[in-house]
Amino acid sequence: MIQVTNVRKSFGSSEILCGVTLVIQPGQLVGIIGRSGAGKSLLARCITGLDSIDSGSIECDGLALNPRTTRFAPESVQVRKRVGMVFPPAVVAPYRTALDLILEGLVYVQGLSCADAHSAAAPWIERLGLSAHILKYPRQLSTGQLARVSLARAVVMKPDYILCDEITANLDPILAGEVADIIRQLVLDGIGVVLITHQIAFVRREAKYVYYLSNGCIAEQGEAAKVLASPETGDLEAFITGVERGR
Amino acid sequence: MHYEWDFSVVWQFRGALLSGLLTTLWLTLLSAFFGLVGGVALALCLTNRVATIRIPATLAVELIRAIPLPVALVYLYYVGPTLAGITLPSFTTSVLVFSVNFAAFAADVFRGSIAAIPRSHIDAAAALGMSRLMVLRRVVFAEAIRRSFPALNALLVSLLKLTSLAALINTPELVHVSGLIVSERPRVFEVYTAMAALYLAVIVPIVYLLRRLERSRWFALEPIGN
Repeated sequence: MIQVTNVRKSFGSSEILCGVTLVIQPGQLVGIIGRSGAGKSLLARCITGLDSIDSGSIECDGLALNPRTTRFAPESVQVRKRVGMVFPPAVVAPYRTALDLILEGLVYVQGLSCADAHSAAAPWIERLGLSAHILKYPRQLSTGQLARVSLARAVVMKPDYILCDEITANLDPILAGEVADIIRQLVLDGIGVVLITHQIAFVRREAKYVYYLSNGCIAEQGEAAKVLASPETGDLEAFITGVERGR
Repeated sequence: MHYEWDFSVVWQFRGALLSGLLTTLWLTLLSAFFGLVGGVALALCLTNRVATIRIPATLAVELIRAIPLPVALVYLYYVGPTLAGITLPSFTTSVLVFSVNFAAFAADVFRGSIAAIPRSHIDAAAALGMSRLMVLRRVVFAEAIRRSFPALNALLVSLLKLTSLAALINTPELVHVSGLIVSERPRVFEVYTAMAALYLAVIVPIVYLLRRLERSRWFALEPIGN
């Protein structure tokens, strides 16, 4: 279980996260929604130790991150081995092929040989429809293919949790549906998945629990279907209306 | 103007010319190697957060870049022995001066390349659970080298040409050897034409090869792929 307790994070005088508390259970799909700049991505970065926190604590299956834990402290590195992060599609090194990107963690973090890493990743490469594109460089791949490379890169590491940051943002409905199928399967496999997204419909349909982040605070939380069907705050209602109008 | 060209002098002194060319190449290769090693070390100091490391490194780089190469060569070769009591052979002095100079310029190229690496690339590697050292090797070095490669190529070709300054302290490289041949047999046009041709014969293939490497999958930032 990932337990985030009263986490605060500021940059200079501006407080981005103001006492966030949330729980992510294994085998559960959790949605984190909110306007741009609400602090969703920063929260994910703090959970994985990529950014340190100013106060509060983050606990991941016995590993604790506190304000003194630095980015490359052993606890942070260990947390990242358990909590995979799927970045938006544009965030990949342009000089590595899709295969290099997918196998990188298996070879350089888990220490597998290239052949073993390839065998371990092959089912995911197949499942994500990347077999025909595996030797291509990022500039030769579409946004959808890059999104799937990003996802493959995280899932082949067999993490206990996966944080997906705007993974379906630039995908057409068919591709987004395919990614949704894979995420659903990951949850069935017992992986805790956090979806950071603006796609309300997707969260409403797939997520068990949802957190609405507004100005760095959890403004609403609860069962996804219930919270999104009848929001308690005008802020969330306006957000849902705005997102659905913009679809 | 009528002039009787006679290249027999070039043929007669071909061994000396080739030896001079070889010295030029050795000078370039050794200076580039030590310069690159020094450049990486200096770049790590230049990008260090600790001011006591960064500021002296910045001052050193600026100072080295400000000193003209002929001044550095002459000073170290002729004044150095008197001041420091150490006499270095001319070849060693040349390698030392060119290496330090190359290191200062390469460090600045590396510093710029390291600064240009998107933070997201480092985050994406760290997110896999890589240690700081692994991220440094797999992302920072790998990407900085690719970003620096075109500028380093230009520096290398420039270094090859600048080694001719080593003639000032009698290093037996191509220009110095050519000068000696001319003083022996005053066929200035022929000897210096041969010297220029030898420089071109070396530089043109090197430039071509480096351009090819620049576009290869090992050094290109965005390889075109198959």
